[in-house]
Amino acid sequence: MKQTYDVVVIGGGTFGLFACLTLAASGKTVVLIDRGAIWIEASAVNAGSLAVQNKLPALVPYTLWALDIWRTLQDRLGAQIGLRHTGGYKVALSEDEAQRLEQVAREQEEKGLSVSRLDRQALRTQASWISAEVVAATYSTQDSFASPTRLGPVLRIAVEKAGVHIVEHAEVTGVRARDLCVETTRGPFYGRSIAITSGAWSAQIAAMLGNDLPILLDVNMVSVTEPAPRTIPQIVTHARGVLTLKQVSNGSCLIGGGWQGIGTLADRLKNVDYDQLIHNLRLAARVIPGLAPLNILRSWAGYEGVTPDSLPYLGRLPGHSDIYIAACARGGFTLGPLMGQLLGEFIATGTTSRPIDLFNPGRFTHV
Amino acid sequence: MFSARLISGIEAGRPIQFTYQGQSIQGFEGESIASALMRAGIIGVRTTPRLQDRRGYYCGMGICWECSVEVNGQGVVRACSFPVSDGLVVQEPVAMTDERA
Ligand SMILES: Cc1cc2nc3c(=O)[nH]c(=O)nc-3n(C[C@H](O)[C@H](O)[C@H](O)COP(=O)(O)OP(=O)(O)OC[C@H]3O[C@@H](n4cnc5c(N)ncnc54)[C@H](O)[C@@H]3O)c2cc1C
Repeated sequence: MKQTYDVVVIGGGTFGLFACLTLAASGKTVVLIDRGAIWIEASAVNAGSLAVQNKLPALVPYTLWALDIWRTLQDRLGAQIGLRHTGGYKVALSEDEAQRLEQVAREQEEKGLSVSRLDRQALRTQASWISAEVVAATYSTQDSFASPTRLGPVLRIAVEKAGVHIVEHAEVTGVRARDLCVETTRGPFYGRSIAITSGAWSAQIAAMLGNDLPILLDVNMVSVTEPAPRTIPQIVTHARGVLTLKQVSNGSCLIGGGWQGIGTLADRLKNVDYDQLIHNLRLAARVIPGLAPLNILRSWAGYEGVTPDSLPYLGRLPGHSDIYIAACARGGFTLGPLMGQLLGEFIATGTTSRPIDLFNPGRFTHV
Repeated sequence: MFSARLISGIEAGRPIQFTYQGQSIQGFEGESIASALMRAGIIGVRTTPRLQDRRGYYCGMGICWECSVEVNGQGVVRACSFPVSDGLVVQEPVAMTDERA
């Protein structure tokens, strides 16, 4: 017998799982389909930064709203998710970078973020673990981080409890708009609506519907050090966006910054590019000299989908009234809870609690 | 009682003296710290921060980091893949406090 769900959600990362929570809370029947196990792609392997200062100015209000959600999550989900609301420094190593830092800070302030400015001297007194080579920094009390490793299993339990039917190891191979059928390697699923939350693969799903949705691929790398004495109380980001750093609860430091590894969606490789990685690590040790003697225990890479303007897609897929998408935010771990919630609201009620016009999935479609 | 010894047919290198936790240990040139410690009957080389369990030689090939020890002038190394040398001072890595505990 053919079962029809209110919503078929394709992709069990941050975006998909939070969409499921909102949809289920508004009484919708939902099936969540994933090609592999849920929570194994970008949402599981990211660096866990919840920083506002490294977001595009246009995304600052959304990041602040997302952080409001993050702060409720531990209570809402009833478990630890490694959330540390630490505040964070964004650093500049040259006069050029300092200028850029100041310019972005102003644009972000126009969008509602408040930051304080520190010169070399002030930074030395306030955060002596940061190198004297750092010429200027801005500080935001909002910058935070959380543990992707902890959030995943906790979210899964919440989504299951909410009554969402999770189907794993079912790769979507086709989508039919006519009867809203999602074909998978484990059979067809029918919906009254379809939600594409397939991360970097969202363009592939859109293509099954004849839509050309531009998504570029980043293969971001992250490294983790051995545990070290606790010396880094805040998250650190960089004026040019090339470094993120935090010391997590066991004392290990996570080093990221969007340095590129090797791989494509077609070859499915996610290899570390050591020639690139070395720059990432050298930069980290330049900003925080105390890192230099630490061993790197592991480095890895993951896929992040990026739109041409680095803003997410959120809304109806162009030309389809019942097919929706939420995907590809730079800083999508930070924004995911909000993006998923807004998608859920939009599908369930036709409206959203925050404006989403900026994220129109049709903005690059030229007819 | 655990015991390990050099298997027959292996020609040990020159004898070497080093210390682990202040205790004098004999190794041979070319031998790893983990190997020398095992022959001395020392299996657990460090203590885990949260559960206070003992850990030591496990994968034997530098992947798992279970046999981490601290070496003077070098910081943390893997005992399975770091050679002994005369006068080497080997210690348990500084235990971390774990806020989840
Ligand atoms: C290494 C790395 C570090 C990062 N660091 C940070 C950070 O510190 N802070 C931050 O805010 N953001 C960070 N990001 C970005 C962030 O992780 C992502 O933007 C976010 O997790 C995207 O979530 P998602 O749900 O859209 O995608 P994903 O988590 O990738 O989920 C997509 C899901 O869709 C499924 N899928 C794909 N194709 C199909 C198909 N055909 N059929 C069925 N299922 C399918 C996949 O299996 C997957 O489970 C990082 C990204 C990477 C890769």
